[in-house]
Amino acid sequence: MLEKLTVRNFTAFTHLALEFLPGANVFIGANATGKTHVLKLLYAALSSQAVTERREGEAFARKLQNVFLPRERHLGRLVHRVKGGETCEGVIKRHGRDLTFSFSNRAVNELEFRSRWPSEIGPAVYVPVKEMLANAPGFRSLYQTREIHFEEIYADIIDKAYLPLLKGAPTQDRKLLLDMVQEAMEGRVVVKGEQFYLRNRQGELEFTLLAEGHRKLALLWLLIANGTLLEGSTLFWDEPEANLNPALISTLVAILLQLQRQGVQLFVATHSYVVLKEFELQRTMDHALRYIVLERDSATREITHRVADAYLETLPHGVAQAYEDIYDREVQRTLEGVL
Amino acid sequence: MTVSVEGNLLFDFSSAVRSTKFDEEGAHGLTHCMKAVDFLVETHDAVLLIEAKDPDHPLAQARDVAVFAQELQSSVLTARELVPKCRDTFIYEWCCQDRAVDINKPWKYLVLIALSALRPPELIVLSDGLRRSLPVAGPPGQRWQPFVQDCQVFNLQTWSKSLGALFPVTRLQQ
Repeated sequence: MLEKLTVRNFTAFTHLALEFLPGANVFIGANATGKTHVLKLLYAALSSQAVTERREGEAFARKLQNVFLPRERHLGRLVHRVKGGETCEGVIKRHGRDLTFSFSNRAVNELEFRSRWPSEIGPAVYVPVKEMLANAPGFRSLYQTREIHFEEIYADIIDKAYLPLLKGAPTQDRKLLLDMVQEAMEGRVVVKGEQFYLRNRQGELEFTLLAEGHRKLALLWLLIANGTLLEGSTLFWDEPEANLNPALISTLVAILLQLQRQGVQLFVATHSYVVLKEFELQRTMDHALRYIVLERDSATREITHRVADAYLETLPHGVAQAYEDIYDREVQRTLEGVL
Repeated sequence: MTVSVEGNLLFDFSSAVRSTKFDEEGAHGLTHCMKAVDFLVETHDAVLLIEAKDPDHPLAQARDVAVFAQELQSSVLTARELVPKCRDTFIYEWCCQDRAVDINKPWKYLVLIALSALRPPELIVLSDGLRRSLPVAGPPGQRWQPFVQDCQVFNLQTWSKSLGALFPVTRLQQ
């Protein structure tokens, strides 16, 4: 599991030091507070395995270039742009061991790298905001052969979704999860050629005709059924609420918490009050749940962070503030003539 | 009446033009058949119907709080209590010739639910549900004179923020 991230001069951050839980780590923040950047950085680190340390460093640099897509893929453009911020330095701790890296703001792909991580790394999955399965047919070959401007997270998630299902009957844990997802999307997923379908009593429905929220659940189903999301894996999910009916968010969070209980480490970035409250309402004592609030200081414009293990301790934050503003304006309208 | 107690909550209506604790048997006389809000308060430009609920009462029994929470979530509280209390109070005042307030001023219905777990998002949803159930708007395409112009659900914190200067509420027993 990922335990710690310390980084200086990385994208939006001058300094960030976070400790993670083995369970669910939920990032709360308004737009442009760097939530996605943290998720992508951690994902890049977990997705850069290679035989030698040198190769691993190269793989990490390439992964950073491909998931962030800076202009002309210059790594240096990921260095925080501020006076004196010439070098980005970071340490990511996993299973008690450090991966350290640094690169200058002039770097194209040159990256100082040292990893003491154990070689066995469970799969890392990054679910991007935009749903891709419906557009998957042909995308992989296009991505491999042409310079198309898509962050690699999109190609990666399609690759993982296309992995064949595991052989044999699912374990009891996996069956429980698959049943939860099937019940929510009222069917199961079948893949024919490169095309995904939802199979239910009415027949087979191609993904392009399926509600986008159901496609997200279908993606989860595939990742569970093909063994990508198993104990020891890491799931990064950016805005799980996107395109999802709020009524389905309850099911989605139940599935995420169940994954966490089965040993999947979660990193979720959200600006949905419904997602936050569902986590809070559904958590029990055996759920390890941590909130990380990212905010932009109004005076210095720096991104600051706070950590809380209970929802109420996260307040105030931008997501709740938006509702409070609406409520305050509503109260003003109601009390017109009274105050 | 300038200061009045509802359960464990002390309301100070000294800045009102007139105020009355409305649901007391002696004052009302028809509590066997008509429901009543807790307070009727007249300001310079409005009549406020105020109903207070106090599930955070320090001596509240866990079972009662659970029942309250269930009724709140299932809209039973709105349907069986909040709406009839408001409507019956309006009818009562409309019929009564010795009125406690000037019924020609616009009416507003304010519900205070002293439950700290209710945050603004939930208060917005509750307020909208109450608006729809009272209702504050008539049928589509119909000219309509609403009996209550608007309504709002508060918790203690939001009450204090918006109305604390005008009508402070304090908890008697912590």
